[in-house]
Amino acid sequence: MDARRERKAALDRLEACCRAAALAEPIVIDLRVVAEEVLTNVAKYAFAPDTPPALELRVAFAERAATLEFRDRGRPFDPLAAPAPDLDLPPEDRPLGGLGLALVRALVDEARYEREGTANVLRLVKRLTPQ
Amino acid sequence: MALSIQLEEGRSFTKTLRLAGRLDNDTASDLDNELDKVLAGAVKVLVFDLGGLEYTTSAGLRSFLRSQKAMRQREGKVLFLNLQPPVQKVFDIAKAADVASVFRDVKELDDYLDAMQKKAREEAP
Repeated sequence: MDARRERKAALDRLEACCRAAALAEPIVIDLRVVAEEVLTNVAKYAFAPDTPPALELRVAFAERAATLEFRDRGRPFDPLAAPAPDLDLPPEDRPLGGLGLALVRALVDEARYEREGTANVLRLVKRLTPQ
Repeated sequence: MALSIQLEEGRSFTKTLRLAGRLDNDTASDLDNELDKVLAGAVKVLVFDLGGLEYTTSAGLRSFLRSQKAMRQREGKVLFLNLQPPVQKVFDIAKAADVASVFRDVKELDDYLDAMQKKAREEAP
């Protein structure tokens, strides 16, 4: 399986887990969007172009929050340290990059990156508001 | 669900791309290909009808930005119609569109296009 199909399979699996945990639809979508942004950025920046990105995604559900944990053994890459794009420029004048991680920061309630030994670990927490 | 893209041509120089499904890293290239075809023609107003779009990621936003840049170069406009809540949320975060270019429904958009055409006729020599 190529990296792209593997990523899609992981995202589909995440979405299925979220649905099985009966999360509200807007939360399921936010988590899927966030996970796609992280996976594509880690593949791009923590791994050389010809290296298949190896990445582990865990999801944990508690009563009030869902936690996504991304772990990879690529080169050090802190997605939260990426410079934010200037969103006040008119769309026509914007650079095309940086939007994905800006979405990640905005769509989760807590985000923490750590370099643990040779691993990049990113933990994202999304609060589950009662519907 | 993948992305479906339908092209509609109504008024002169106006093209509408109706998107349904999911706009993400896998499907944005389909939209880019369609955009290349649309932008190869004479178009002054490009409308994205997003009524059937479940969500968009930054990959979709990049396609929209690209079309906004391309249309500005030809002094045209990109307009957005029927943003659903998950798409609206991402647009708000990324400030992806000017408020003036987002329309709630077809009626609002038609009124705007009527006014624009009327103005163009009046300004014509």
